[in-house]
Amino acid sequence: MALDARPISDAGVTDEALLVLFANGDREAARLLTIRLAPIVLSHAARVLGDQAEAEDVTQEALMRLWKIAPDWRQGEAKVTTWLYRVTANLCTDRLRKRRPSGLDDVPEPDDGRPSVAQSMQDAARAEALQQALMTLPERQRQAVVLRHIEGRANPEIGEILGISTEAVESLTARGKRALAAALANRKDELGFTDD
Amino acid sequence: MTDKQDPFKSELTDDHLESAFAALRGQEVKPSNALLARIMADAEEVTRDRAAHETSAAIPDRKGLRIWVRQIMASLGGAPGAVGLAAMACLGVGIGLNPPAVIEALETTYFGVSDVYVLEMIPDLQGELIDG
Repeated sequence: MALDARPISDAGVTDEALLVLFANGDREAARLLTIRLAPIVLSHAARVLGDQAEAEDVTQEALMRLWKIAPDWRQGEAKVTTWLYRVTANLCTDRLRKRRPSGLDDVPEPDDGRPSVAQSMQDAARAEALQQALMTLPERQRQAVVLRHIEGRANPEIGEILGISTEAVESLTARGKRALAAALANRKDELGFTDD
Repeated sequence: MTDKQDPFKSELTDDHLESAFAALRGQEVKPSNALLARIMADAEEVTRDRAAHETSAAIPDRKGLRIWVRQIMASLGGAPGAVGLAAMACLGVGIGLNPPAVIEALETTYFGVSDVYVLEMIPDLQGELIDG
């Protein structure tokens, strides 16, 4: 199996098709999958772990598992993104369980070098506050809230990713939102939330 | 008790939370070039390993054949068992093609017939074997 550098048009080619091409030795398919999927995985891992370096390690490991499973991928059984979210969620869970319990003081400060060109100072402060509040949630609640409200995944897909029913997802996200609202209540004025 | 929460202080509404979610969504988490390079290096390593594995699998495995023969021999009781089985098989074929007089006498005694009926699975095979 030789590496094939044949160019592929990005538009219209599904992740599943790219994975099959990669399994057949197509290097360009690997490049496109990396560009598409690495940001998704990194974003989820960073929200759940609250640590950029750890999130990068998880991203590399999750994609390594994707490369290895490529020849055995069964088309039509699951979306590549759903499978990848599931692997990422499990890798994050493993890392969180290895950590000692942490309080708010241990949550790292946001990376000053993070790109936020178009964001206002208030948006940055809200994002930081929400990230800190997320880190206080139990791990499963955090995963569900991030998948639903940050990543925008549908409840049935979240159920598939976390291995729970749709009703359980709804319960987790509802409890998570209540906990976040309570955690941010004391910073309401500071974050510019008005009652009107 | 100055840190007691104000009971009249309202909690965040869904709209407040949604604006916080939107703010966090807007914080781009972008993979570095170094991370992308590491991921691509992994992909190429997996591809190389798979190619090497497929090449080695395509070459006949002499070691595997030896192991298979050894397993068959072991199931027959080792070399003595295999030699014994081969000898008895040859003897059976010889008796079948050219039965000694004592076999024909036993046939007459027990079955009351002296003719031997041969069921030919492969026509003319017996004749060719006898005639050479």
